[in-house]
Amino acid sequence: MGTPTFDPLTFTIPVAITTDMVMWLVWLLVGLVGLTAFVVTYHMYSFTLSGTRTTLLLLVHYAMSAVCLIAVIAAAYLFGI
Amino acid sequence: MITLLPNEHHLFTFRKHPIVLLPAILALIFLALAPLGIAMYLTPNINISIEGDVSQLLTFLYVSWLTLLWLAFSVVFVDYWLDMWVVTNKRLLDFEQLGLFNREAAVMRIEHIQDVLVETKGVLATFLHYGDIHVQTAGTNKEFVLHNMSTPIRIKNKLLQLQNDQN
Repeated sequence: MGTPTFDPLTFTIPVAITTDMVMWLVWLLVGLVGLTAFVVTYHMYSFTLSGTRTTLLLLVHYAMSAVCLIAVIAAAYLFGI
Repeated sequence: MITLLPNEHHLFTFRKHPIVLLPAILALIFLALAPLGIAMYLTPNINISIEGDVSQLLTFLYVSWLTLLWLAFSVVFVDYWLDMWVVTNKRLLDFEQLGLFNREAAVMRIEHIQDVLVETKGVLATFLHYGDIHVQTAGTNKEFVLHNMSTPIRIKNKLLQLQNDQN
């Protein structure tokens, strides 16, 4: 009896992922982040007794969203857009 | 912004205990780490062939995934933050956020408060000081209930003290 061997599964994604597709994804994410920022800001200022804490929470939200977007754009540049 | 009546001023805002965010946070952490786990577990066993630079593409997709998870957390947090009781010297305002665009608001006059009941169930609730508060009003059968409130005993004492001051 021979030693059992394991063949790795191999599959190919049939669509070539182009820089255009990545660019569209980046724009989609920019839109989603912008829309979320607007909705969150609207809710936080409309439905609370807005104060320093609300503003601080919103600043944290904007900062994290900005970090995410910068990372997305940087990754897209590395891919070659 | 919440508008107050003339001669009305804000006293307290009570929210749910942050522990209610824990299941959502754990789920999001799991979803954030899942692609890494899948990649580490499957990479030796599966060869994926994609035209172009695979590692850069996967990095881009992973970072995009993290961005979507951050947006999901923002929505969950807004839902948590807007579930609150605002207590003024005249009224108790109960706001319940049921979804991003689904919201309920109820108002009770402080002098109509008849009874405040606190319910603490379970080990975690006992040690972390959170529980349900029921406020009953005079005149109507309407009962205000807020679940998993932080420091419910303190809230109960403040409401009863406020009610005593009114009478």
